[in-house]
This record gives sequence, structure tokens and C-alpha cells, in this order.
Amino acid sequence: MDILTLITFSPLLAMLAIMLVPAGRKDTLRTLCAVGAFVPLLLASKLWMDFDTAQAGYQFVKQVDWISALGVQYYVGVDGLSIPLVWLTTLLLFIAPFAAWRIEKGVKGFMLLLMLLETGILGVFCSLDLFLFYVFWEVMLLPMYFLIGIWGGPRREYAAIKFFLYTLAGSVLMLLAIVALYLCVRDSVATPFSIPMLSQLVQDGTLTGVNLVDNGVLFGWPFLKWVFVFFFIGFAIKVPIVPFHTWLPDAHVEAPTSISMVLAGILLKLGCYGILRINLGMFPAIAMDFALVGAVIGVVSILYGAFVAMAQTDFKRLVAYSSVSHMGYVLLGASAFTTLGLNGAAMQMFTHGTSSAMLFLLVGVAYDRAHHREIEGFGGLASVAPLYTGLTTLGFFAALGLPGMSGFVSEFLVLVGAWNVYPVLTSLAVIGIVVTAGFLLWTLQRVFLGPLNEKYKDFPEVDGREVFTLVPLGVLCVLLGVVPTLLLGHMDATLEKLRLLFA
Amino acid sequence: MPDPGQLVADGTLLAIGLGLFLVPLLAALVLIFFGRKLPRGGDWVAQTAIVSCAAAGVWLFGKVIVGHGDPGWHWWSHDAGLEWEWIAAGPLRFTVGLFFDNLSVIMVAMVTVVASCIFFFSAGYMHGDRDYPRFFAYLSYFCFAMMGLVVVDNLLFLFIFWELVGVGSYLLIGFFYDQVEPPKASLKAFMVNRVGDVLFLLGIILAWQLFGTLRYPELFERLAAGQFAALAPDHVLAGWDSQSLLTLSGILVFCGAVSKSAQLPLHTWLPDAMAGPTPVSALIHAATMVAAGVFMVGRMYPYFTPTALGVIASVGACTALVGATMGLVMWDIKKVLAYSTMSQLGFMMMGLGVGGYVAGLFHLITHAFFKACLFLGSGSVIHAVHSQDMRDMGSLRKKMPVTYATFLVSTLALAGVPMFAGYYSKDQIVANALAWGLTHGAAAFVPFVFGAVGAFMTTFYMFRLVFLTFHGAPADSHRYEHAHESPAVMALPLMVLATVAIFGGGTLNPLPHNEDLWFNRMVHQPASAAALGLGLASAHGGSAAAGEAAHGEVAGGEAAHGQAAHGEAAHGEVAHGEVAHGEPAHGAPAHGEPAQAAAGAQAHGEQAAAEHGDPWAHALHEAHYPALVVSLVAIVLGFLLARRMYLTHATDPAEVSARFGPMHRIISNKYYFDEFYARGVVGNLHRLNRGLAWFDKNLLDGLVNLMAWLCRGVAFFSGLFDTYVIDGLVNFWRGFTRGLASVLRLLQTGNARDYLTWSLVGAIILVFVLA
Amino acid sequence: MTHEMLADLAALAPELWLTAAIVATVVADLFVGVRGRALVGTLALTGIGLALWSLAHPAEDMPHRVFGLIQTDGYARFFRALILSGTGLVVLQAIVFRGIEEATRNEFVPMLLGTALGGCLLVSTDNLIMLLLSLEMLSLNSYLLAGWQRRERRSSEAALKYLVYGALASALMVFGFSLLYGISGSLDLPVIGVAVSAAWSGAHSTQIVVIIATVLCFVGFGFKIAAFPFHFWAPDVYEGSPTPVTTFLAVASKAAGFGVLCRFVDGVFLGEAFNAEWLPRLAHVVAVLSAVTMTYGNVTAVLQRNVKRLLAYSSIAHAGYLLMGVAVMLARDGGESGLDALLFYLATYYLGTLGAFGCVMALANRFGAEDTDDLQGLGWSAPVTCGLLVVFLVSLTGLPPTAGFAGKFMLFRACLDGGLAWLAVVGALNAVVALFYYFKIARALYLRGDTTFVPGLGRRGVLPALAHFSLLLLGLATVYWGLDFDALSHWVARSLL
Repeated sequence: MDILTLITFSPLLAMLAIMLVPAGRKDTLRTLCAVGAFVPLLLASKLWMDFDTAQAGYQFVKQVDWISALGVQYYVGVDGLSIPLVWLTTLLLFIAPFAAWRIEKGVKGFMLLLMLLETGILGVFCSLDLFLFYVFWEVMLLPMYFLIGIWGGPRREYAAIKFFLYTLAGSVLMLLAIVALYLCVRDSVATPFSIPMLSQLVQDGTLTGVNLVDNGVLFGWPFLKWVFVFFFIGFAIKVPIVPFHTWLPDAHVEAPTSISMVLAGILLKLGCYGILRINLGMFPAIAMDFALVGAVIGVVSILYGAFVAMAQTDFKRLVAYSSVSHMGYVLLGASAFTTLGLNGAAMQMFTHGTSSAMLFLLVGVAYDRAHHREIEGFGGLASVAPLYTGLTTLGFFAALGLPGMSGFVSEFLVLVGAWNVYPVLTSLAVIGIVVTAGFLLWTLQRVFLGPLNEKYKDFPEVDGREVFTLVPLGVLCVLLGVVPTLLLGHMDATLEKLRLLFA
Repeated sequence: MPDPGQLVADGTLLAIGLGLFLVPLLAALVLIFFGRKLPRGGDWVAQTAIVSCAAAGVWLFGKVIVGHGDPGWHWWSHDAGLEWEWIAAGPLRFTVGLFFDNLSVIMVAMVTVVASCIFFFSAGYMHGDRDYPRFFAYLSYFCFAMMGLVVVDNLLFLFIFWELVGVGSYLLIGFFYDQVEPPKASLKAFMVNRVGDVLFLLGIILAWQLFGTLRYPELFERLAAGQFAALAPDHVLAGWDSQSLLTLSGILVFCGAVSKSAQLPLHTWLPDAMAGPTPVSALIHAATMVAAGVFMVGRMYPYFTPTALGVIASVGACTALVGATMGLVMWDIKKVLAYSTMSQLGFMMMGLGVGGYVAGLFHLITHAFFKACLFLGSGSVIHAVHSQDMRDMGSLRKKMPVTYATFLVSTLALAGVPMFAGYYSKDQIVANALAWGLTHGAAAFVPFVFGAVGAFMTTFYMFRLVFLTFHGAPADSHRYEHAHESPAVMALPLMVLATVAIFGGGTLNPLPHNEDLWFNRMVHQPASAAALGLGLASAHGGSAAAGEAAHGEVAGGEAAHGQAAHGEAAHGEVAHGEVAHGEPAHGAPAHGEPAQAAAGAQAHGEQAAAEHGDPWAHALHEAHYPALVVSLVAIVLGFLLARRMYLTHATDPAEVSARFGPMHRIISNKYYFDEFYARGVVGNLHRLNRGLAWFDKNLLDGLVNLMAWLCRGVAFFSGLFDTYVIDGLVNFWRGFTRGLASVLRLLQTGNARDYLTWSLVGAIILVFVLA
Repeated sequence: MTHEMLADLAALAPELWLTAAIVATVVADLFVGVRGRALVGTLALTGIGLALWSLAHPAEDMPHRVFGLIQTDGYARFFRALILSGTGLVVLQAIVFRGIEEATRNEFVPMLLGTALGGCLLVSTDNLIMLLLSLEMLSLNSYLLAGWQRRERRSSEAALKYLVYGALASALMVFGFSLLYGISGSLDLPVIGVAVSAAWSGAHSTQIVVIIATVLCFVGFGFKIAAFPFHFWAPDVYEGSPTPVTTFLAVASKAAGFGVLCRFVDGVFLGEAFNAEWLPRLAHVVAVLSAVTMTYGNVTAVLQRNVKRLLAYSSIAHAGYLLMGVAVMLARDGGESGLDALLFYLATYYLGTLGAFGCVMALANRFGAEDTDDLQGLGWSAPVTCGLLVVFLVSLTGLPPTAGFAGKFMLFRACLDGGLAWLAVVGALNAVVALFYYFKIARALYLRGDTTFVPGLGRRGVLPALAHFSLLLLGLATVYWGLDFDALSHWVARSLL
């Protein structure tokens, strides 16, 4: 059995094991889930080691026929773009059960769904067959709906269904795009869903859709342009870019800490990954037509997210909006089609995955103790919880892109990469850097510094479990800030290949 | 003379270079994690670390600056031979290495020595503080960042450490986190700096676009050779010529220094930063971090076009004057020193801007010592009387002789009284300003005038400070009673610093030839690589004359190889036969040679300049004594006025301020800068944010909910249609057939008939559509 | 009795087994009476089982046409298989369903079987008379079944609405048939097809006649498949009738309706090429009907609280989806992909609906839950049943990894293929609306109410266990067909006309 399949489906095994444990034995269930999530982490780390960084193409490929009626294949593989995200996924999903340790309601169901979720996410990152990709893409939604809807906050029902409907609305369009591509090539090739194959055909110009719509033009646009747009909308909603972002604050705020962490840490990356893998990797020519649009959207997201975040009074909502802002960098960098821009975008996905996950964990700590998230409601926590304050400071500095932390590297790369192409937009984007620093440190000041709010004079310090969840992420933020080549080295070859599509 | 490359063995240099910033970092980590468990809160860890750094720094200083056994000017620059690939993306690389030259060696020595003094002073000052270990952890962390900033060999890493020192400042200003003011001040400091920093970053990005490298040697080499990379054709700036681009980039880079060195208009954070512990103010906000801006401008000096230098000069001049004026009216002892620092930084910038490269940097070094001494002195006063308001003090000289003596010495140095360190550096700045005025037309006299007035004010407010604090009658007898001299651990650092404040100039000769001052021998003005690259008639003849000489300095270590090439390039502008000899002739690969040649060339250059009447050198020559006279006059006047108002009380300060009523109000309100930022900038930002948040919540999200709502609405009505329209007719017919038997009623013919209608309607519609 | 006749009878083995089962159950009921539920049920299930078995193992020398009336092609086998298996499951549920009085339960079973028999014949014939007879056999039984709970006013009312409306529909359809007969002078669809296409190329008046005939027939079929605007009976009837009957109507009866509709379309319109301008127009009318039907059904379902009524509207929506297939059939002559997708979707819809209703019945049995509010928090009390229910709902929504997704995929493929891209978009967006109301049930099960365990009342015995087991099987099949539908699509490919 090949390693990717093992990584992807080992959580399912854990899920089956969890099914067999009686619901009453909560600690057994939690431990089992943690162990079950540790296996893929180990495997993914091995994958990371064995990965050949010099090679640009897909590695650890497994390709077997699946649904012969449609020519669908079970076709998985990773390249420099997906392997960091695979590893990050396994890491965050390993942390998640610890972050959810305090949950008492329906522990069994929670852990079950968590494992199902992990399989879904990993599947999306690994699959190289559009059909497979879509199946995993949707599989991921279902557990997320229940995880938010059952274990979430007061407005959980609204948030859960909003998230579900919004994402589905995007993904059905994506489905149509997939079907359309399939119809274009089903007669000419044996594997009409294989992403590499389709990319090849599109770039050869042999795939134009003439056989589907007459002379390949639909409502005045080239057929492929429609396909591109449908894909893009599907992913853009997931990223999310302004103005498709309004599901995000609700989902993030209502979801339990561990799930917010996974949402911000990984689910947002799925959208970016899709854009890089499919919109850019498959349709470079069309992507260049839309480059300016992408850059504008990116910068708008950066600024809009930052400004709106600054106006939030809810700690978690603030962090949620900061994610919108940070995702904008990915789009800006990707739209520049330069080496540095692409590297920055790809790295930003990872770095934001670590830093935002950390922020949500930190917010969760405060919420667990105070049972509210009003920024103004705290004050002076540093006096009673120095360690918590220290970790938060670390997290905030990582998030505001302080040099020496990973965030700076990715943002710097994006800015340098984009500046020569979009000077004005990039120069506007740096305003986002200032504002981000502003609202994060302002929050730090209002929540942790200044005189202690008497209400919290016996505010408990972070406990060992919480520290255990936070430290790995903090270490990653610093490590990648100091030695970014650890990450860039794995992505370089692939991204260079991607860039050459636009040269 | 020895080959400078061999002055220090590569291995040693590398070890020192790394140790300089890794050792303090290590100390900081140890203190953060184990500080509380260590005896004496682990202050000795930090002190050991910094002292060992100081030892290394001083040793290097001795080796390079003093001990090379060559009386003549001598430039040494060396790459520590480390090249670490930080970012590798595709074909592009961002590497980092360590790079030493006289400037950084001097800087290292200064920072480490001052820091060591302050580390010991803090042991006394912060004694018994709850977070004693954390304080030393932060201090060590700051030293790590500051050292890194000095020794790295490229702009990007300079920026990285630049931000890291900012964090150190943020943490230390907000050290008393449970009080109200410090957190606010620290936030303000960080944000104001952030503004400057992003502009700095844009400047760096532009530099990268233009030259494809950020390492100083290569950068200046390519610049001097005029190797500009073209921007993208559809680029907004594509139309600009390379000079404007370079100017833009230079000014953006300078913006970083504006915020970091508290230049107008981004100075507002510095006075607030005094909310931090006094040793912090001494180390970070007087001696080192704020000076980093000046250092950076010095590092990047060849990069600035004449226009950019003009901007620097004017900003510096304004800062010098405005800062001094605000110093006149403050009552808080630390605020006075803060504004004095701001004004002195303005002096330095002005010096650099007007082409007084050496003067500006020299002042940076001397100022660091006596200003640190002043802050520590004020610290020990505050320690004694537990107040920062000078109106609570007075006559303390009897109680605190050591503090008084050292404070007085430093004051004299700051005022620029002859034979004190400050005199030698400050005087040169004024002279340069005057020369600039002479060579650059009427408007160019502004820096000189501002400088002179600034010098006058400096003397005035410093003596005002001294008189109010140490002379006269005790204003608050209670405080006075309890005042006492600080312990040795605090007194000794004061003495060390005061000593340097006296002998920092390296001579006691009141009328020295600038060339004889140690700093002038060791540091020499680089040619404006910008001028060379752009083929401009050089901004200042002087710097051009120095050009050849300076190449070794400009390009540093290995870049020296390249110089032969530029030799010719340079001749074009600077017609000094002698100058040409030295370098291109041997075009020597060895590091030392070009420097040495340059040394010779330089000396000739000056005389030649004098003889052939090179305008700049000539003007400089001319300006020397007039400037001296002017500043001496300014000092005397300042002293006398201060004495009259605050010692003999012949004039009542109140009247004076009353006479200058409006102006006094404006100044004591700090020109309303804070109000402007608070209302004009931050306030509007918040307004914008709230507006967008409203838009997001009510319009964007409202749209989404509206769609859901519409769907429900339609559902509601179609549901009604099914249940009520039909059942309504049912009920109608039920009423109609009420009389009939229950069986018939169950039949509900009406109901059926009306179903019938619906489907018939449907059928008929279909017929018409199809037909 | 000649050899041919015997062979012909052999071809009718499924129907014969079914008849035998009917007789057996009626007789058994006479002897064992009320307590013989188990026996009756077993007999019925055995009969259906044998029928399915004989369906799966046809005789080698089987003639294609029996008595000149009945087709034994793969198409017919496909639909008979669906109807028989569906009926089997319904019978199984009906036996354990509490909603039916014990006294009448034993008559209920043979009645179901009779209806199924009608369905089987309906999908197998291409002769108008036979078609009419079997349709009435199906319908009349359905009317009775709908009104089975005599004491329930809603039930009787439903029955009568159904009856009157059905009568009307049949009447219109018969009129349509007579017109067709008038045009062609034949009752066999292939002949009629030829004649009609000939008539179309004739005078304008005859064209009008053809149009009217077509429309009238569509009214009849539209009634059976509950397509807009002939659907009005459905919500009331679905809500009023006992749940097993609702299930039967939603699956077997609807399948039969589509079976005959497609055969009719295929026979009459696709036989000979109509001129290029009319058939596309017909296709677009059907496409619009399908779009309206699915949208109407979905949107109206959004606010329904009663689970049965909600599923009724959803089944209307699914009729709309199935009509996509018909539209494609008409859009591209040959219509392979259209029919293919339709059959495929029907099969997946079958799983989902049977399963969903089965779970609803199981929950009703244990907790007496009918409205979405009654379901609150049951997810924690009946994890397995509710888990399955969620699976079926997901499948009905059309999300992977379930059969429903495969079905939707096939339909969208057919639409884009047939040049009806806009219809595909409408269908896709409808899935979003569908998700909303299907997950109202999931929401009630898990997100609402408290998580405490409520035992509810169970029922011992083999048949109840079998009923639950059948649900489990359906669930597994739903997921399996979602992940690997090669077998299904091959079967469908063999079953095309």
C-alpha cells in the first residue's frame, strides 16, 4: 500500500476504531483520536523526508482505474505545492483533539467527525483526478457542518448551514466545470479527469471545447474562460476573498476552538491551493487574462480585512477578519506570476496556517476561562497569566509579520514579487501591514496590558495541555522565519515549473 | 604596514561577529526561561554576556583603529567570510554575511561599552523590581538585535534587525505593563516606527528591483558602474529616469531613519517612550537604537543622490531646531533630555545631509556617551528624589556630588564646549553646514542657521536643567532630605561614561585640524556612488575628491577588486592626477591596497583641492573658523541666559514665557503633533473601520441573508398556494355543499373540479406553447 | 396449450409469481386471521423474491414480445426490478409499521402486491390498451391504499382527491390515445410513431391534432410522475396516506410513470425524425417544465414541517430532475445519454427515497415522530437509524460519496451533452436549496434537543430485525454506488430502449 493512500485513509481506520468504543468512555475516545491522528503525522513526516526536492513533478504517485464507465481514476500524488499542506494538515489535526479535550458533549461523535474531516482534507490535497478531488472536497463539508452545528456557540445553527450552503453553492459550479472539461476530452483520452493530462491538453491548445459548444464560444466568452471562472468562484468562496467572505466570521466565531483552528489553518488553504493548482496550473493563459482582477481582489481583501478587523469588538471575530486580510497576500502573490510572488503565496499558505491556528487556540484559552470574547471586557491579564501573555505576544508578532518570524518571509516575498508587476497595488498593500500590526497590538494592549481587571484576579494560567498545543506552532513560526529554506526548498522546483508556464 | 586583511584572522573575526549577537541572544533566552531560578535574578548572566561582547568590541577597536601602527588615515574593511543562503527561490537568492569596516568596528565598541555601563547601572536602578530577570532578558535581547543591525552585510537583514530592535524598544518601553501609560507609549512607538518601516521596506524593494542585490558592496559597485536594471515596461515608474528612481528609493529608505531616529514628522513617539525605565531611555532612546537611523544613513551614504541628501539635510535641520525649542519648556527632566536627543539626532542627520558624513557619524559616537551619561544621571536623580519634575528638585549637587560632576561634564560635552568630546563633532557639523550654505546658494544657509540657533538653545536648556536640578534652593525639602548619592554600581558607570565624554574627541587641543582627529582619520567620506553611477557632476567636490580614496570604503571587502574599473569612470569628474595614481595603477586585489592608496590620495586630494580651489574643500576650509566662532558665541549666550533666568533669577521665566505667549503655548503643546495624529489620522482610521464593518455586517452579509430570506418567502407563498388557494376553494365548496349528506361532503366535487381547472389551464398553456 | 404460449408464459414468470403471492396471502389471511401477520408477510416477501429471481434468470429462448402486447426487453426488466424490489421493501416496512391497524394489515399486503403487478405490466407494454388497463390497475389500487386508514380524515380525503384527480388525468389521457389511434389506426406505439411523424409532415390541422394528443398524454403521465402543474394532489396525498403507501407512491408508482413516459416518448417521437424545429421546441418545453418542477418542489419544501409533506415536495423536485433526462432525450435524437442518465438517476433516487422513508417509519415506530420538531435530538437516541437517515438525505441532496451524487453527475453530463447547459446550472443551484431543507431534518436530529438517550419502544421478532437490516443494506448500497457505480451504469446501459 503506497504511503499517500495510507496517510489519507489512516484516519478512517481511527474512525472505525472509535466507533467500537462505547460513548461513555470519554478519555479512551480522546486518547484514541489523538493516537489515530498521530499516525498520519508520522507518515507525513516520513513523506517530507523522502520527498525529492530537486524534482518538480508529482511524487509518490499512485494511479489505478476506479470508475471505468467514466474513466475516473484513483490518482494521487504530491508535489512541492501540496506536500507542505499535507504535513500541516496532519499536524493541526493532531493538535485538534487536544484542543478539544475539554468537550464533554458527544465526545464520540466529535472525534469520529474529526477523523472523517482529516481524510477529506488530505484527500483533496493528494488527489490528481478531478473527480476524486471533488468527492473529497464535498466529503469534507459534511463533518464540518456537524462539528460547527453541534459543538458550536450560540448561533451555531445559522453559522453551520451558512457555511455549508455558501461552500456548496461554489462547489456545484465547480462540479459543472469539471463535467464540462470531461465532456470535452472524454472521446479523445482514456482518463478525462486526470489533472496533469487536462493541464497538458489545455496548454497544447487541443482542449478548447469546440466539440461541446459550437466554435468554443459561449455567450461571447471562450468556453474555457467560463470553466476557469466557475472553478475560480468555487475556490474563491473557500479562500475566502472579499466579497464572498461573510460566511467566514460566523463560522469561525461559532465553531469550537479546535474547529476554528482547523478552519483557519487548513480549510482556507484549500481554496488557495485550488487556485494555484487548477486556475493557474491548468489554465495559465486565461489566468494571465485575469491576473489584474486577481491582484485587485487580493489587495482589496488585504485592506478590507484589516480595516474591518480593527473595528471588531469580539476577539475571535477580529482574528477571523485578520485571516481574510492574510489570504489576500496569497492572491496578490499568485497574480504576479513571478518567482518570488509564487514562493510568497505558497509560503503564506503555510505560515498563515500556523500563525492563525495559534491565534484561534489563544482566543480559545481566554474564552474557556472567561466565557466571553469581548476585547474590552478583559484587561491586564499579563499580571495574572504571564505565560499566556508571552505566548499570545509571540502569536501576535508572528501574525503581524515580524521579521524573524515566518509571516515576514512570505509577506516580504509577495511584496517583492508583486511590486515590479503591480507597483501601485503593492504599495497600497503595505498599508495593510501597518493596520494589521495596529489592531493586533492594540488588542494585546487592551486585553493583556494595563491595570488588571479585578474580575479576573484569579484568572488561571495556561495549563500544560494548552501549552502543548501552542508550542509546536510557535516553534514553527520562529523556525521558518529564521530558516525559510526548510520550507522553500521543498516548494522551489515545483513553483519554478509553475512560473515557467507564464514566462 | 600590515595587510588589513590580516589585522584579524578570518576565523577570529567570524567568531567575534557571530558571538557579538548570539551571546546576548543566548543570555536573553536563558533569562526568559530560567531567570527566576537563578541567583540574583540572573543579572550576572546578562552582564557577563555584554561585558564579553564589550571586551571583544574593544579588542577589535584596538586592533583595527588604534593598534595597526599606522599614523596615517587608514581604511579597513573585511568580510567575515560567511555567506548564508537565507532565501533561495528559483534563480534568486537572498544571502546574509557579516561585514566589518572601521565604521562598524567603532559602532560595535560604542554600543557594547555603553550597554555594559547601563547593564551595571540597571542592576542598581531596577533592584527589587518584580520582573528583574525579565528586564535583563529584554536588555540582552535588544543588544542582540542592535549588534546584528551593525554587523550584517546587506540591507534586508539590516531591516530585519531594524524591526527587531523596534520590538526590543516596544517590550522595554512597556516594561511596567500594569500601569496605564507605558503600554500606550510602547504601542505608539511601535506603530509610528511601523509607518516608517514599511516605507523603508518599499525603498529596499525598489533597490532590489534596480540592482538585483541588497549586499552593500555589490549594491554600491553596481550603482557606481551605473548598472540599472530596467523596470517592467508597463510599470508606473517605467517612465522615470534612473536618477529620479534612485532619489525615490533613497528617500524611502531615509523614511525608515525618520521614524527610528525621531525626525520630523515621526518624532512623537520618542518623548512618550520615556515612560520606560530610565536605563532603557539611556540605552535605546538616547545612545543606540535611535542612532541606528543615523548609522543606516551613513551605511547607505553612497546610495543617496544630491536631491535625497538635500531632503535629509532639511529634515535634519528642522528636527534639530524644533526638538531644541520643545526642550526649552519641558519640566520633566527626562522629557528635556528626550527632546535634546531628538534635536541632536537632527544635528547628525543634518550633518550627513550637508555632506558632513564624518562629522555626523562622529557626533553619533560622542553623543552616545554623554547622552547616556545624562540619562543615567537623571536616572540616579529620579532614583533619589522619586520624581521626574525638576520643580521638585534643586540644590542636589551637595547631596549627589558624583552624579552632579558627571552630569555637568556631559552637559558641557553636549553643549559643545571646547575640549569636550561633543565640541569636536558638533563643531564639524556646523562647519559643514556653513560650507554647504557657501557652495549651494542662499537657501542652503538654512541648516547652518538652524544649527547655530539649535546650539544656542541646547546650551540654554541644558544649563536650565542643571541649575534647576542641582543648584538653587531645594524646592521640596522633604524629598531633599531623603535624597542620597546612588550606590557604587550606579556611580561607576556614570564615571566611565563621563570620562569618555571628556576624552572622546581623542585630543584636548581646542583648535585641532580636523584631519588629526582620530575619527576623521579612521572614517572617511565615501564617494557618492550615486553621483558616479549617474555620471553627475558630484554633489560635493569634497566627497568626489575623496571618491577614489573612498571606493575601498564604498564597496568594502572584495568589491575593492572592481575599483580599477571605476577608477577611470571617476577621473572623468575629478581631475586630480594624484588621486588617480594610487589606485587604478596597481588596481590591486589585496583589500588593503586600494584603501592605502586612497589614504595617500586623500591627503593630496585635500591640499590639491585647497590649491586648485575645489569649491567644496575650499568652502570647508573657509567655514572652519567662522563656524567655530558662531557656535562658541551661541554657547556663551545660551549659558548666560540660563544663568540669568534660573540661577540668579534676574529675569523671571514666567515673564519671558508670557511675552512669547502664543509661541510658548504652541511649543509647550509640542506643536500639536500628537493632537493631529490622534484626531486626524487615528480617529479617521477608526471612523473608516467602523464604516466598513457596518457595510460588511449590514450590506454584504445582509445580501446573503436576503437571498435566504427571499427563498423562504417564495417557499412561504408557494406553500400558501398549495394549501390555501386550493383548500380555500375546498372550504368554499364545502360551505356550498354543506346541506348534503356526509358521503357527498366527503366527495368534495368542488375540490375535484378545481384541481381540474388547474390542470386544464396547464394543458391549454402547453398546447399554445407547442402550436 | 401450444409451446409458444408456454414460452410466453415463462416470459411472464415474475408477474405470475406475484399473482401467486397475491392469492396465497389472501387465502392465508382467511385462515390465520389477525395474528398471521408474520405468515402473510413471509408469503408476500417469498413471492416477490421468486419474482425477482425469475427476473434475474430469464429463459434463453425468451420471445421479445408476448401475446403481441408485452415487451420483455431489458428496459422492462429494469423497471420491473425496481418496482418489485421497492414493493418488497415497502411490504417489509408495512408489516412492522404501527400506523396501520392490525385488523386490516393482512388485506393491505395483497393490495400492495396488486399495485405492483399493475406497475410491472405498465412498464412492459407498448400497446395503448394494455397500457391503459395496467395504468388503471395501478391507479385504482393506489387510491384504495391512500385511503387505507378509514378513521383518519386526512387519509380518506387524500384518497378522494387522488381518485378524482386520477380519474380526470386518465380521462384526458384516454382522449389523447383515441386521437393517436385516429391518426395511426393502430394501438402499438412503434406504428403510431411512424404514423405520427407522417402526419406531422402533413397539413397544419393534423399537426394541431398531434400536438393536442401529445399534450393530453403528457397530462396523464405528468399526473403519475407528479410533475408541475399536475402535482397538486401529491402533497396532500403523501401527507394523508399511511407512510408505507407514501413510500410506494414515491418510488414504485413514480418509477412506473417514468417507465411508460419514456417508452411513449421513445416510441412516438424518436421513432422517425420529426422536422428539426418542432422536436427541439418540445424538448425546451419539457426542459422548462423540469426546471419549474424542481425549483417549485425544492423551494416549497423549504418551509414544510411535516416530514412526509417535505419528502412529498422533494419527490416533486426529483421528478423535475428526472424530466431533465426526458428533455435531453428529445433534444438530441437517439437520446441515449438522456435515457441513460434518467434510468441511472431513478435507481439512485430509489435508494435514497426508500431509505429515507424507511428511517422515518422506523423513527415513527419507536418515537411516534411525524414532524421535524418531534425528531429533535433523536440522533443521540437512535444513532444508527439517524445516521442512515443522514446518509439518505445526503444522497437525495446529491453530495458525494453517495449514489445521489453519481445520479446528479450523470444528469448534468447529459444536459451539457444535450446542449441544455442552462438546465444543468438550474439543477446544480437547486441542489443548494435542496440541501437546506433536507438538512432541516438533520438539524432537528442532531443540532436541536438534548443529547440524552431516550429508549423509545422497540419491537421484537425476525421481520422487524429484517426491516432494520434492509435499511442498513440500503445505506451501504447508497454509499457503495456513490463510490463505484460501474455495475449500475453497465446495468443501465443494458436496459436502454
